[in-house]
Amino acid sequence: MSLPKRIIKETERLVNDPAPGISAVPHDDNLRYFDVAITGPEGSPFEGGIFKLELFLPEEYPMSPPKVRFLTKIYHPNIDKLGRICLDILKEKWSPALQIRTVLLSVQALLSSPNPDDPLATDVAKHYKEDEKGAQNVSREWTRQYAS
Amino acid sequence: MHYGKSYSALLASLPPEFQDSAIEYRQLKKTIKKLVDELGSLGLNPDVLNSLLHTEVETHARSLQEPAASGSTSDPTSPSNTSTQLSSELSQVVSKAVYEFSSDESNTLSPRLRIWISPSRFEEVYTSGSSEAFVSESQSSDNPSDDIGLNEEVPQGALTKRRNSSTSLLWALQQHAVEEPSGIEPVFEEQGEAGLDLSEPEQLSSVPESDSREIVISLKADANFFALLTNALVASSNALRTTESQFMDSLKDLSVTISQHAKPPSSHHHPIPSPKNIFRKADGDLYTWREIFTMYMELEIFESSAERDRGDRSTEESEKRLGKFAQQIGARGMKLSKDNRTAFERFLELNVLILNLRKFQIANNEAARKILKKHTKRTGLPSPSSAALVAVAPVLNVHFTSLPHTLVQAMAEILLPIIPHLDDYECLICASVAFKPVRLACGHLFCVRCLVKLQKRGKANCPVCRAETVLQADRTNVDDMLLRYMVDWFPREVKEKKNVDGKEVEKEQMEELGMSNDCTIM
Ligand SMILES: [Zn+2]
Ligand SMILES: [Zn+2]
Repeated sequence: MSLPKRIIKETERLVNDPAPGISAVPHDDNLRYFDVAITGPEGSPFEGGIFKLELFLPEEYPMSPPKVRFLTKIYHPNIDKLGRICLDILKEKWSPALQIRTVLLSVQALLSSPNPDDPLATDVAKHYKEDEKGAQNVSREWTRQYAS
Repeated sequence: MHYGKSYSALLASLPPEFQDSAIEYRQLKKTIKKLVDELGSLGLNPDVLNSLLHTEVETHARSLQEPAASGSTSDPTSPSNTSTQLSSELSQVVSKAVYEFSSDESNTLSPRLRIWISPSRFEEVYTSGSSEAFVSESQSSDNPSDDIGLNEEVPQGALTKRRNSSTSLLWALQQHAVEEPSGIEPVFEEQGEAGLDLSEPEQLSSVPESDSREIVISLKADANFFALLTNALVASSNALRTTESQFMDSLKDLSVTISQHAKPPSSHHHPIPSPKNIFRKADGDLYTWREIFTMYMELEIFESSAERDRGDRSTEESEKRLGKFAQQIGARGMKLSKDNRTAFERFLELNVLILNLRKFQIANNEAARKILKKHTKRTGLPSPSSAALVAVAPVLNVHFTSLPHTLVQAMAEILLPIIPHLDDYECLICASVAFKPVRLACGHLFCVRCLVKLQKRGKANCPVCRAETVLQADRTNVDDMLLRYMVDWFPREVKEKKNVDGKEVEKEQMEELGMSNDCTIM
């Protein structure tokens, strides 16, 4: 089945005019599967790190959201051990008017502002709630160890 | 590297209407030379002028009290020395100078020096031959009349040769002087006496030491300089004004021509079919022009909209991009009919005109800046304020400096919208032309196929604004006007979209019947 026009156009733009700090490159043998790299936002505990993710566009896309997962280990209250991300627009708040680009920008923003009240990794969230400084130090340490 | 040379080389590459109105750099350079001579003949070399023009009141007072020990005599037998010696002497008698412009109704700048002189000091300095030497050095005059008084009509800058012993620097200065128009400022700074006194050099000795006299010298060569400069600037603005109106005329003309060529072949566009368009025209011209304009917009020839280099491009970059544009159109081997080719060439010409206009403005501004800098450097006279120049030279007005941008805008507003752009008629979900177009109650537009998919999945919210408008939509939400417009202007895209949708529906039906594409065996 040929690739829908929508995916062709999005890919073109992602490659030719990438958003700052975000790269997404489709696999040659599967144009619905992207290798993604997001640089840790300045001023966040993830600064200086480069985080690898995978992004997959299901057959239903854009009626269904893309599937996104962190490959790089990260200490973040909204990202679990398997790299799964707790982000509303990837689930119930998905709209077919959103794009790969907007999704990745939201993930980048999530690194800047973790939300421990809506956790996926409950132990990390607990740590962030009880001792933010200490938790951030762990995030920094993980960034240095796994994302540099 | 001579700037004058590269400047004239650049001008030579521009159309004659620009060449003719450009600043005459070499001519101005010669005039500066004459001005330097004129000032030199008055003993006002750049250093002297500089110190006089920057004299504070305090210095002025002190110089009046200094004993006239040095430079009180000069050696007339060494003429090569005379000028510099005179200069230092002059700075002792002249206490202060102001460089100013008077502007009359004819909008010309009349530059002049207003000089305050301590007459008694003058007496001490100029007692003998030095002044004779000075005057004999001075340039010959257009008006050799012997005794022109201050209040008589003195031709600007006329220098009278007087070879009798009473000739003095002050006298020579007076010959340069033009009386102030009455009622503006008193000629005398401190004493209220009539300025007529100045016309009689013999009376100078009677002036008390504490008084300083004021003399106004009109600078002839300087007036020529500014006349040349401002004339060129005025000519430039006239050339620009003409260029602008010609540009707008041909732009409108061209937009009519292209509209006629690119008009959609479909009958929807013509409510009453005339015999002329009963025969369906091919849509080739529409797509040719769409491709030309799309390429043109993507190249962003004059102004970039990208984050990294937003704003005006350099003329070199614009020229490169314009060349690339023309080349790409040629390389595509587009089948342009004779009429279309003519129109395309006119389109290119308009772009070349904008490019030349920018080159001309940059060169002209640079030449004006350089020549004013040279003027100051060679003479010691400060540059007139830009406000003074704007008053006489409209080319420096904002309207003219932003003219290239205005023309680029006009192109984007008048020419490019002739061919509607697909981006404006796209469905946000499938990224194809939104055909058939369904407008939701919230105002957002999608193709019928995507809307049906949303409904089938029970999605109630508009994908753009999240209003609950999706499930209520029905056949009445199809925008019929827009549908016809799309058929007219995007016939190929509409055809392709129908094709893709048809296949998708077919596949869907197969799946619903339990037969996936993979296992259909014919
Ligand atoms: Zn659609
Ligand atoms: Zn809406």
